[in-house]
Amino acid sequence: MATENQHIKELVKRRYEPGFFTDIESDTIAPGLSEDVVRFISEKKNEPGWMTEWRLKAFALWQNMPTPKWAHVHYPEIDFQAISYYSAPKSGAKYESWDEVDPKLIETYDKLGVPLHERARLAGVAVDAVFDSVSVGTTFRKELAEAGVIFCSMSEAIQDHPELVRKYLGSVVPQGDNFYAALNSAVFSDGSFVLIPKGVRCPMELSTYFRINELNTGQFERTLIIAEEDSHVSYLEGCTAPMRDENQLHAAVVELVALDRAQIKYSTVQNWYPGDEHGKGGIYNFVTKRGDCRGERSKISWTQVETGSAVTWKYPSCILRGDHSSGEFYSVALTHNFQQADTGTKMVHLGKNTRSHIISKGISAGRGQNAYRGLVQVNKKADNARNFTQCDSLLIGDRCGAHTFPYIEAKNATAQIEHEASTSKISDDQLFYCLQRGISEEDAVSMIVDGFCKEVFKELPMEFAVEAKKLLEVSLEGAVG
Amino acid sequence: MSLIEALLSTAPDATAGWWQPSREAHRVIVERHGLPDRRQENWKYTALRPIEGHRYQAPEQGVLQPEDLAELLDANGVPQLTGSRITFVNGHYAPALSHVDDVAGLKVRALSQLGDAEAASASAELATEFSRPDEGFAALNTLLASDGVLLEFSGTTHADGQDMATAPVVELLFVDVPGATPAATAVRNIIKIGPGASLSLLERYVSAGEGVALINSLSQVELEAKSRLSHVRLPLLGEERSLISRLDVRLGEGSDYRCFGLDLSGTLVRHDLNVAMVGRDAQASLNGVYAPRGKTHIDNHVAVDHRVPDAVSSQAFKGVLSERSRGVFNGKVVVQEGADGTDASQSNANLLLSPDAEIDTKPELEIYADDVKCAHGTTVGALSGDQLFYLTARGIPEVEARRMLTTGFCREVLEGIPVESVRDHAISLLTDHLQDIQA
Amino acid sequence: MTQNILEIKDLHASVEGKQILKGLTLTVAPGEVAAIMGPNGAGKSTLANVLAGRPGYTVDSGSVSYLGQDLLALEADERACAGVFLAFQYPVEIPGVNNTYFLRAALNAQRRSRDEEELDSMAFLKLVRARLKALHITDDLLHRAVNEGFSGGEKKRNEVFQMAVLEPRLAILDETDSGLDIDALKIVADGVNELRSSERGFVVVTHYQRLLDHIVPDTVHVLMDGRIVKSGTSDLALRLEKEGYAWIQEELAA
Repeated sequence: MATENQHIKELVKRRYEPGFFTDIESDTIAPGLSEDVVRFISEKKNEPGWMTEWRLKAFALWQNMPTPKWAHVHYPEIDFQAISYYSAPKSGAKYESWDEVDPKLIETYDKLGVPLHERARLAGVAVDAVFDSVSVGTTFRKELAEAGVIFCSMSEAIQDHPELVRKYLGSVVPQGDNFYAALNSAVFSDGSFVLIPKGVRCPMELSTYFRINELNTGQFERTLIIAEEDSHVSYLEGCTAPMRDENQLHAAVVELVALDRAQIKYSTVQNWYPGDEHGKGGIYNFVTKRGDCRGERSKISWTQVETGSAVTWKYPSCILRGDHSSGEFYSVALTHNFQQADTGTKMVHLGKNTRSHIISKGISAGRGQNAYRGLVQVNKKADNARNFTQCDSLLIGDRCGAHTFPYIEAKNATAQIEHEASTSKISDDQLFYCLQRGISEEDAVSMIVDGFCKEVFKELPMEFAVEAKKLLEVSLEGAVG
Repeated sequence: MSLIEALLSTAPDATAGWWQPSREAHRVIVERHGLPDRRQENWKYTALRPIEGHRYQAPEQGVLQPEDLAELLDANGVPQLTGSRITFVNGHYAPALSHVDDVAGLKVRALSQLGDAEAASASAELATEFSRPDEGFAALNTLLASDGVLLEFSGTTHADGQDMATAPVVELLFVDVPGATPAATAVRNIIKIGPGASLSLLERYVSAGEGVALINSLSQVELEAKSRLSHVRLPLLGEERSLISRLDVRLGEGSDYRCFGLDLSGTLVRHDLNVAMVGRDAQASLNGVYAPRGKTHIDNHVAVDHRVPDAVSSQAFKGVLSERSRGVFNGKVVVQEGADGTDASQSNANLLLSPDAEIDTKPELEIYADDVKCAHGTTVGALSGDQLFYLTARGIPEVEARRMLTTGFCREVLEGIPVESVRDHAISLLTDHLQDIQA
Repeated sequence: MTQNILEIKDLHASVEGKQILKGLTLTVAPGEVAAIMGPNGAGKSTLANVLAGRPGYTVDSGSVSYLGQDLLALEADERACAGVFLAFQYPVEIPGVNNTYFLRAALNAQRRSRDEEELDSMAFLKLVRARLKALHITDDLLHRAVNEGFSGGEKKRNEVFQMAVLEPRLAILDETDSGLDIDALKIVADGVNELRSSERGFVVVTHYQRLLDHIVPDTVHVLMDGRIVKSGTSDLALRLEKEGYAWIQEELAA
């Protein structure tokens, strides 16, 4: 024990590689939130009247909602009037061609490993790059259009496909769903919009890369993915922010709709700035993600690797409405230093013969606090529902915490629900075994952690799995020895 | 009249002076917080609606004769037990229905009989403040309790390896006999097991006659170093009776506490079982079976707080939910910073037998130390088809096979009761109860 | 001529929509031990389960007559009460249900169905002890829950012990030898031999010949692709052991 603690302290300080700031001129409105700010954002984006009304309704709801306090996280009260709710690179948000995009922006994404320029693009992955509040560009648009797939920024979708946006926006996460969803509905700036038409298997992975750059801004993006009957899509999301001493708020909403036999796979590698080793700075990541398996035999699968943010509050969920629909949740959440995470999922079984599968791996190091919170609800008419949940925690060091709060509600006698949880640490025996075979302590730890997370990593698309593994290694630097 | 108003009206007029300050302090707390509701996390799945809407009154005392009690116990299938029995009727000590065996070191008295000097050993417990908004019933208990037991046992040090089955047996019997009006009673028990002593405690509730009654029971149990207590709780409640019980247990070094609950009936039953591991190498085994039917609602909230290293706790709760009944299980394990070497397990398994029954279960772990072994498992399901076929393939009719499996599913938990006669009694109560349930 | 214990005619059965038995015909006379051999996936266990009435096994056509009555019309427990016993390949564990209690419930259910008086626990225990003694089995399995924590050998021994107590007219042994070492195998085989009588028929389903060294069958039937394709005496089993099943396939193709 003692030697282990010693090593923990000795190991190198972790580095947050994406922690740089891009010096670019921005249009940023003064901090503060009011009906006028909501109108300003809507106007700035040249939105139709119904959209402005929709935002205002959300704002009215938000004003009467208390901030949620039930999560197992602690942070100072957020002053919502001290945040700026809109920031965009000054050079304009829409570009006719990539050549017009400010080279500094392209460079930023290059540095983040997300090349946007045609010659360097990631093969087989179409990217929508969101910088602070706006989308700076989407790659592979032509190729996708040929397949009938709509992949554009939310702002464009509101202009170009208003009927689709009106039909689906808020249909999974209504404006008044919760405090942060209401805030997002009022002030969301941009995000991605995807529609996969009937019978289409999306020819490539779609992805959005979120970047917070400006100081004192909040990021509120909104993503909507609709998979029509018999369609199929895999979507990736990545995010980073500069290192700053102040906390910054990120409150996103993601809505997924899967119609009959459609499949949506949504993967996230979340690497927002986590704050420094003293717990200073970092992103507050308060996100509402929900998928609606509206059609029969539809399937929604969430995979997340959460290594960033100072405080994470997110529960990617599935409403299993269609008969025979299924939902999956695979999660790795790592908290180090003073990071806190309260994350998990909700599986709401409404249709008959619905299935859900939950694998959650929490890793706590340093003084990190990691909580799994999950709901499995089998409703009265959901005959033959099945759920399997496994949540495992790994503790590294004796000052961190690992918590499990599963809620299981069964109202149907044909339900079969199994929940298992375990807590373990990297044992001295395991470490010694590796050392004795000539493996360094650091390698041994990452090997053991990697093994612990294997079930989740294998759900990630290949390129992401590699990135996720690396990210975990970097995030754990200084945690063990 | 709201529930809280109705209950406050049952407060005893005058009580012993040593109890009065703490009662007054809790009156203030109760007035501030009122009773818990579903907005509080610990009451999320249990609404007080089933016990609301009654004009509760403090029931009469001294209404039961020894022959009535004998008849009542007989009707409830309670066998003759050897050992001591302290009986409370409608929340008041009934000396004529009680006897205490002459066991060295055993001191059993009713709180109402304590003089100022004797009360000193109970004063810390009675002064415990219940000030969290979700512990309104505990605060009320301090304010309303009419009586209860102070049990101290400093019996001879048990020989190592001595079976707990042979420890002295004490039964706490609470009989409720409501009259024409709904009755509310509150009892407070303080139990102290001295260093190295072993005791077997049976806590039984029996309902006489028809009528609405609400029982608020709070017990504080202290196990000193190397002591052992087996604690069996059998609420044999009438259909219209409700029980809100709280049990706070502190385990000293090397002590061993085993608790078994069997809940089959009543309108609303809520147990809060809080166990604090305050001494190293303590062991707690917390077990329960709930098999509600009709519209019975049974809620078990178990919280184990590992504050020191090397303690072991296990929770095993099984439920069979039939008809329109509802079960709630909330098991919590907290391992505090520094409590290394903790071994905590938790299991909750449920059988749902009816389309109208419901189970809500929440097995929680909160862990702040890394050198621990913690695991939990929870299941909800129906009977296994393979097991059912095995039995029917041997010629056992399906209805009987289902009953056998259902009983077998639960009785496992009760088989750990150390005292044979108590174990047999608990198992036969369970078996009889499940006999006419449509599995 | 005495009545056959079992007459299966042109039996077709399926599991989860997949046809497994495709016209199986088999007769077992009183006193006969019939061995059913065959490669994996031939339908051996399906036959055993169909005879015992396991849910999920659908009979599509054909008939099964047991002592002259229509076996397929009976529920699983009615078949057991009529004297059909299945020794399971994988006996299930039933925690919380005591083995003795379970067996007495089964025996009394069967006695009730025959209008015989139920045995009280004293009489039952006497019977059980006698059977244990005859089978050379110790009584520790009486005190445990049904199959719970039993080793593979103990589970199979428990099956034979139950058979001895229930005294069926037709005993079906489903791969009773699988997973047993030679000592355990001998105990099981001795038990079965002890129970052989002119009144009783056995269907012994097995993949390997070795069980048949200890339980010498009167007839051996080869089950392939859902049908009995060859029947013979114990010599057939020895040849199968030596040469496998390929030659039968060739013979059939010819």
